[in-house]
Amino acid sequence: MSENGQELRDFDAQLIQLFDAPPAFADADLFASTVMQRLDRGWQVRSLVIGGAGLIGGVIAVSQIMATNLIGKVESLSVGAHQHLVANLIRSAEAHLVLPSLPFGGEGLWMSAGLAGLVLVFALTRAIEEY
Amino acid sequence: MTIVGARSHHQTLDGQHDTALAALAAAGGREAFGELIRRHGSAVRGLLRRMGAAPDLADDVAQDAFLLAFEQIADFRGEGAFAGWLKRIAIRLYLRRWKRDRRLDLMAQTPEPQTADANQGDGAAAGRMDLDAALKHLSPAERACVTLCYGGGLSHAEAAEALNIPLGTLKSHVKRGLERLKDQMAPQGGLSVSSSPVQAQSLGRKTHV
Repeated sequence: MSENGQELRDFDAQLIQLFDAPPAFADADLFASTVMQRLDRGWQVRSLVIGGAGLIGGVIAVSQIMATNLIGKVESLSVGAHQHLVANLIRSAEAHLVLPSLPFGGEGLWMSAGLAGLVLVFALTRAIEEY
Repeated sequence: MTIVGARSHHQTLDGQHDTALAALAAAGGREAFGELIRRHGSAVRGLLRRMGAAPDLADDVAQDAFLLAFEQIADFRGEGAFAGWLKRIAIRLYLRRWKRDRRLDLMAQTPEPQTADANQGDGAAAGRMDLDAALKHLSPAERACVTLCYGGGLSHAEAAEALNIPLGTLKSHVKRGLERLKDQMAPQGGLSVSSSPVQAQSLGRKTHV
């Protein structure tokens, strides 16, 4: 190998060593804490956005339901259906010997369904937040 | 967690390998990722500055690179060095800004034949210079090309693709950049940049194909 070629290879290798050695920064700790703060801030903003979106969606849904007088319609529709449903439930409960002991009424059923819906929304929000 | 507990936890992280820390970070371990930032923050910031970024811009891009790395950390499989993976993210983000500013157009120009450099006199007068000072004597294109290949760990082909320039143009920039660096760093004719013996494995890196 020529002397010039060897010199170039040496320079190449020395250059790699120099590039591998990072410069020292006096504010290295500050830089690290700034990145961590931005990371935390991003996480908080994401949580707020998801929570806010859920809240807005909920408010809109409730206002729509109120505007269409859905509850009144459901009530009027469910007058007969409710009695029928309760009767069926009682019959079914008596058959399975579980529900008769529970203080169940029509309101209780609706409340349970509502709570189940809320739990589902909460679980979905958590899942979106995690992934 | 108590102060003693936190300290011992930090010491535990301190002894972990990058790949293990990345796995912890992928599982949501923010402290593990904090340790990775402490380890590699200066390297990423230094790389971007050596590519020619102003200090504020370099720090900004380096921060973005770490945030993106945290989001994508599950993609890091530990097949290569974490530092290399991180540097590639930072390079990609920095070059994206270049493209946005249309500065890459300058890169595509084939370098003119080398002429006497007015800065060489400064280098001779100053004697031995460090790498960062020497890099300032390169053109933006030469500086970016040399730093990508030697500091970023990219092969010539990868660097050409990243910069969106022909391979021949990149090689010309690298060749001229190396010549200028050599002149700046060894003005008396001898190589003065070495402080320790060259490791054989360094010679085998893919940056010099």
